[in-house]
Amino acid sequence: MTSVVQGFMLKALHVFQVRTLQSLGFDTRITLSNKSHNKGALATDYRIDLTVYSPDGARSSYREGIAQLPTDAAVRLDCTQWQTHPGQDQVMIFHLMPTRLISTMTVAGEVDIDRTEIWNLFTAQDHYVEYYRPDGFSSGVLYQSGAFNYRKFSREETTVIQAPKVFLTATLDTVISVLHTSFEPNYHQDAVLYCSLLDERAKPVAQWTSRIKPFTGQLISMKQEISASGGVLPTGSDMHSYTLLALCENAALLPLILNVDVARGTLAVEHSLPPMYYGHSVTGPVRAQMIAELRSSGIFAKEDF
Amino acid sequence: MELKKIVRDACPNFVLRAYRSVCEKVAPAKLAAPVVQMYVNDGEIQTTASFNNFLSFLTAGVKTSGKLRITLRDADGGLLADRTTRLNHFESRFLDIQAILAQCGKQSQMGLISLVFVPDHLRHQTYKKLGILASHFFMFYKGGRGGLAMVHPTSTLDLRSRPSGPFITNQVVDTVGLEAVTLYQCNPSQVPHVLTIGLQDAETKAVVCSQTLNLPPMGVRQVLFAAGSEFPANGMVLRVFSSSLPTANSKPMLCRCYSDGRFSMSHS
Repeated sequence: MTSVVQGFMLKALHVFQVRTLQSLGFDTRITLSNKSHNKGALATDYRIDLTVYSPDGARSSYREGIAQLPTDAAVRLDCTQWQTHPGQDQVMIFHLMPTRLISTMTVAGEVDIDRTEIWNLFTAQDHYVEYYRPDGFSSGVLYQSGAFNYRKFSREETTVIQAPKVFLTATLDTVISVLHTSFEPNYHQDAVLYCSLLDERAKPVAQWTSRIKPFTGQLISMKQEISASGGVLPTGSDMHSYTLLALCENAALLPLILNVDVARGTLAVEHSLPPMYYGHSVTGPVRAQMIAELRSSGIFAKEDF
Repeated sequence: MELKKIVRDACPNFVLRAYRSVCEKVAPAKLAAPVVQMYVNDGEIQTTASFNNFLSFLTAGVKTSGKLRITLRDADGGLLADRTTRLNHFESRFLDIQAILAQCGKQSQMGLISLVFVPDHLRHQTYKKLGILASHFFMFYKGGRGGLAMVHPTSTLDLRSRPSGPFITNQVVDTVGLEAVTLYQCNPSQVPHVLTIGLQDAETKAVVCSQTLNLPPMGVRQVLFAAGSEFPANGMVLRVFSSSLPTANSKPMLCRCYSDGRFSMSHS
């Protein structure tokens, strides 16, 4: 049975979304891979296009053909060359445009395509982002990032995060990086992210709400949130550990957790694991039920809802 | 089997349906095999494993408590610790590997940790709707000279998992500033496994350095490739490769070691 999606934006078919991290003293590189040859007849070379957003997300520029990516190959690109606001962080979306489909694209940039093909090309490989310093230190993570908040790609427009990944010392902070993008025309809503930081015994240490503007990558510092809640920050080298829980009901966001020691110039970066990793059937109505129960659980500040 | 078939053929359909309905109701929720990752406890690096009561998060309407089973093995797969700790609703645990080993009177520089969380009421209908439950956790590696690395586990102790073919990571290693690249490889299976692991030129795919490892069942091995002698530290771009993986997705863990003592780690 085929499931053809009419008028799908080709630039949303296979994307890799990253944020730069100059605010923390790191430059950004990516490595895009093409493993579509493992998908038989769907094998394709890619033309790489790029959208760069201003730090406030209000403006963007589109570059066509910044690189070529043949099958069974990889291309490494330094994002610094496309930064328009040095010292500030920007969202960049790399569009992997299948060359065999470019000629079939309408003037609006759309194609009619089977959903299976979208899924196969998108999941054929992950891509790598690394954050590096001039002295060579580099830390990165492999992940996939779909065309979030684009209904022809996915109708899932919520985000849940469970991250027992918060470690604080006098010099170490944990920061959530949250990307908020969309491929819908005239998309302008803020994403509302409800957050709760718990200690080992599930006692809330801080609860807050973050609003994330579209086409931006916000950094949320756990130290700043604890301070804002009147909490005490660690002063020595002993690690204080917490679990971050978060819920967004109006947008699909791309979260990364960063452990950053600015004094030592080190960084650890990891993606989150979606609920399906924990419970293999947590999709559709089961996921909706999970979100409804989280909302009324009291784990997030009540006045926010 | 024959008797079962005779009974099944003799029973009216409504009786069979009722029987199956009762069986489904009393069956426990299905647990995935324990999730596994490598710890390092070599004097330079200390490891913390972090786990949150994920069932509280997935089914917040049900107050979930349960037992977290923690198993530690040494580099040759020998069992060092097998203990449980209780978790209440929404609780988490940050497990200091060095402290657990000390409590058991054991020493080990590296090995495997596996975790599995079993809720007190495993037959609760709510858990069954979630499908197979996997106790994912995260690993944090703290260096004596600064830095904290974070890696999520990639494999499980699933006895049915078979070895997989050649592996090449999609991430690249820039050698600028590197003192060494250390690879950690585990064998989360019940049988020995031999593989060749190393670094290859990212562009030409030529092997730059490699080593063959004999991995005992449930064992872990470490390989250090020194910059200058085993790969040039002049900005060459490398990739990690392995001739095979002992089980599905049991990829090597990559540690970039810098000359000033800093490091970063990730699964490859």
